[in-house]
Amino acid sequence: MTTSLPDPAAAVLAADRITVGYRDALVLEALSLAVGAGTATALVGPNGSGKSTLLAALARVLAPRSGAVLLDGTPLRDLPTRAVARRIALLPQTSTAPPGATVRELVEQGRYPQRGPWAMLRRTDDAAMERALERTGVAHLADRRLATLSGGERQRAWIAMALAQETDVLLLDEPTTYLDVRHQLDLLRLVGRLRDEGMTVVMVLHDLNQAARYADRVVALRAGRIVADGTPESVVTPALLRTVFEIDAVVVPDPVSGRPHFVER
Amino acid sequence: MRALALTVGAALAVAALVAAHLFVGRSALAPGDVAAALLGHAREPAHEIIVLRFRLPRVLVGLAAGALLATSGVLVQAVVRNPLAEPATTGVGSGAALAVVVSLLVAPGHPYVALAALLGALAAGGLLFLLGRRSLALTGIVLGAVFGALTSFALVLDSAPMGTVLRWLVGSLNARTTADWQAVAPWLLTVPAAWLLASRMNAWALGETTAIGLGVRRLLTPAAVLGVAVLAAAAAVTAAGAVAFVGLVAPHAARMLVGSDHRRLVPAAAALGALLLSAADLVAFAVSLELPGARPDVAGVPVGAVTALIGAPLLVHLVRRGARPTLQERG
Repeated sequence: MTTSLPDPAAAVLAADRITVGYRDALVLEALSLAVGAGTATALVGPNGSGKSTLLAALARVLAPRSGAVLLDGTPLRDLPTRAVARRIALLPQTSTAPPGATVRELVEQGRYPQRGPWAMLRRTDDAAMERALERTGVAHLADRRLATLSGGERQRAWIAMALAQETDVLLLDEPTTYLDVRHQLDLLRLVGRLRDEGMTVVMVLHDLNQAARYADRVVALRAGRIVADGTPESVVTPALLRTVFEIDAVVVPDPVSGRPHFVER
Repeated sequence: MRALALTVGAALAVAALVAAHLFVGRSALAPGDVAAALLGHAREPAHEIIVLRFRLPRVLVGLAAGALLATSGVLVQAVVRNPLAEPATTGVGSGAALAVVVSLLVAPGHPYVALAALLGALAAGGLLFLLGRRSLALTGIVLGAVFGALTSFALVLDSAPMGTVLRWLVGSLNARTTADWQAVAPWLLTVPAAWLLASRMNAWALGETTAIGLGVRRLLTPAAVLGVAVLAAAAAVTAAGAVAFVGLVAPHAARMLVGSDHRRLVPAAAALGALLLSAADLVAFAVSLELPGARPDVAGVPVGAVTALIGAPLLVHLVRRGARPTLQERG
């Protein structure tokens, strides 16, 4: 490992020996992960490896049965949920929007944690909403109904909603899923810019090459355990591809970024 | 501008409906006589009784029950995120009917039928809270079915309360009194209460995971919304019986007019619900007058029969016109 992993006490967001499960099936057992401020971390792993469950636990959507998720050292369960929402924004894998809702109405919901339910009874457009609409390139679509947008435009509107929260931590669960290649790259570049501005990003990514190229740190999970954790160079290796993803591949440096890039044999 | 136009339109429609209700009846009163009775100096004592004791309470109770049903519909739909949910989805109406039957079997002909309905509705709502933690919609539907079965069973044992119960199940505004209006009026506070929950419902509409991410309280918020929905439905059922379709059609039509933002949807649906139920009641009353023997009293055509006849095709029309009751996935 070439990176020095952040010390849990100094981390912005940390899972401290969390055990998480649904009903009687445990998905994660005594898992720990500390995320340093201003880093972009990709969670990768095959289907069912627990990466989305880990993200849900980091976002307090799932409560750990034991252990704790710490935000600046304080367990999330000890913080008011709206106070957490002012620090951590979450874009889940699937969401629903009411029929007829416009992009602006969706993005306005991102202001809920800051304004609170009573102030949200009044409609207000604020600078944070405008910034979020601009950054995601949907400002010109603000008054369109979500139903009339393409899948990529709609996904960017949802990301604008998360950005309107203006948090310092952003959790993304497979954010590129509904996007075509160009919009996938736009999104990952946006993530890179947010990281450069100091935001802490944790994202579940399916595409290992994208994870290697756009994240500072890649965390590979398999069967609920972290099996590799470090720089893209240290994690994306033929050995890991074989043991975690069960594929036989060569890894070459990507000619543009120099990051590892795998090609199936 | 559009909001202003809609508000003015709704106010005018309510005024027109109230006027129609006050002028239409078995005794043909001149407009001047109606106005005089309203202002407190009726030319004949009979005018005062007809206008203030018969016609005015009926229209007021109708408007209130309609607003309550529609509000309850919006809230139930918000909690389960399904625009096909309605007050009946909570099982509150069936609970009221069961309580009415049981009370009439225990004490035949007792005068506290409305109280029994209210208690039954509230008890059903309480059961829903106790049992419905996993799936509110399913629990409410199951409770409704169980209450319905018990009601049928009780009526098979003793069919004496059949007429009263049937009117309760269909929904009727016939022969409402000032006491009925006074009983339902305070419950209209559930409409502003629903509006105060609007921003939480807007966030909840984005899916449970997103709502949690935004800082919405995952247990308290749906409980509060459902609690107000149960209270509004219980009050509506007590005042008018388990009227069908208003709680489903009014929110739908309101959504087409003002969109799905609950800050506008709650008042719009309440206004439309009031209009819809009261207009349907005018039809029920007019038809009752035309029936042989002209009995616009307790045994007249129940408003629930009219809302079902109008509501069912209207719902099909709304759904086909593209206000499809489907939630949209992100992809």
